[in-house]
Amino acid sequence: MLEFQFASLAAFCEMAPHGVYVWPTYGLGLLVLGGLTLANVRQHRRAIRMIQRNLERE
Amino acid sequence: MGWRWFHQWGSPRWFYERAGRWQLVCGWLALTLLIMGSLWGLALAPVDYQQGNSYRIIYLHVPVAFLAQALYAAMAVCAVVLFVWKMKLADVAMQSIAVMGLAFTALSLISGAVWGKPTWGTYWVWDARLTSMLILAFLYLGVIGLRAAIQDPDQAGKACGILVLVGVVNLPIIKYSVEWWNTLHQPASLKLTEKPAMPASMWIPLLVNIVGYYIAAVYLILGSMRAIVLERERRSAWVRELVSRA
Repeated sequence: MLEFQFASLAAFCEMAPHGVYVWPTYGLGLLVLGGLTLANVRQHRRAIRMIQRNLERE
Repeated sequence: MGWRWFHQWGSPRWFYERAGRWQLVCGWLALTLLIMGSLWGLALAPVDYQQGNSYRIIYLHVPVAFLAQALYAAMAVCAVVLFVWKMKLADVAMQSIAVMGLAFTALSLISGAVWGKPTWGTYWVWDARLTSMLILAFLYLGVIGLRAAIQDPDQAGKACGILVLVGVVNLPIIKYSVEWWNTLHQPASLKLTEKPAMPASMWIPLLVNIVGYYIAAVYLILGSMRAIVLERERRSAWVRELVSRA
């Protein structure tokens, strides 16, 4: 059941004739998940920095 | 059984401390499942005899389309919890879920369009399923915009909650659109109650990715909620103490 479905790695990358549709879709998916993860990390850091600044000011 | 498990959600501090650990577990679990499911779907699942390799997009499209709807339902549950129990965290969750929901809805619309081109010959048709999903995207946008437009966080939360609950009417429309109307979109690929119409070698990786994306969504929502909790609780003693230790 678990068999590589393509003749070669090159054929896998080409995924004829639909590689141009499949790969960019997965690329975009990766970008969205990665982007949201990064945005969360930055928002968290920004919150901490904001609170630190407020504490220093007091 | 006590109600402790429920009441502790009333404490932002309790949530913030626990959620960091949950996030770690969810993050690694989601990453493992998504790599496994995607590679399986892309490389090891058999090619579709009608659609060729373009069908491999379903390993992304179906999970994110499920999520787009499930997250809206989750947001509606949060709205109910906010109105009934006045739980602050429910509003934080609503705010986080709206952003993630919009992202997944957009991803499902785009991945569907890209799949539609080689399969239907067009990126877009105004068919009931596609149109109701587009409305879902606008609902998410509306909820995000409404919150941004109202200064007072409590008022913003209430207004968003009402909009979210009104928008719930769209969910059954999305679900049954492929049955009520003659749509170009195919009926459900996977149903809880029926045997899948595709072989196990195709649906097992799909199931792996569905679970993976759901856990990834939990990971993302927890991360966003933790940041929002810090911002909103910035004047409380525990946050000040936490930050000054950092």
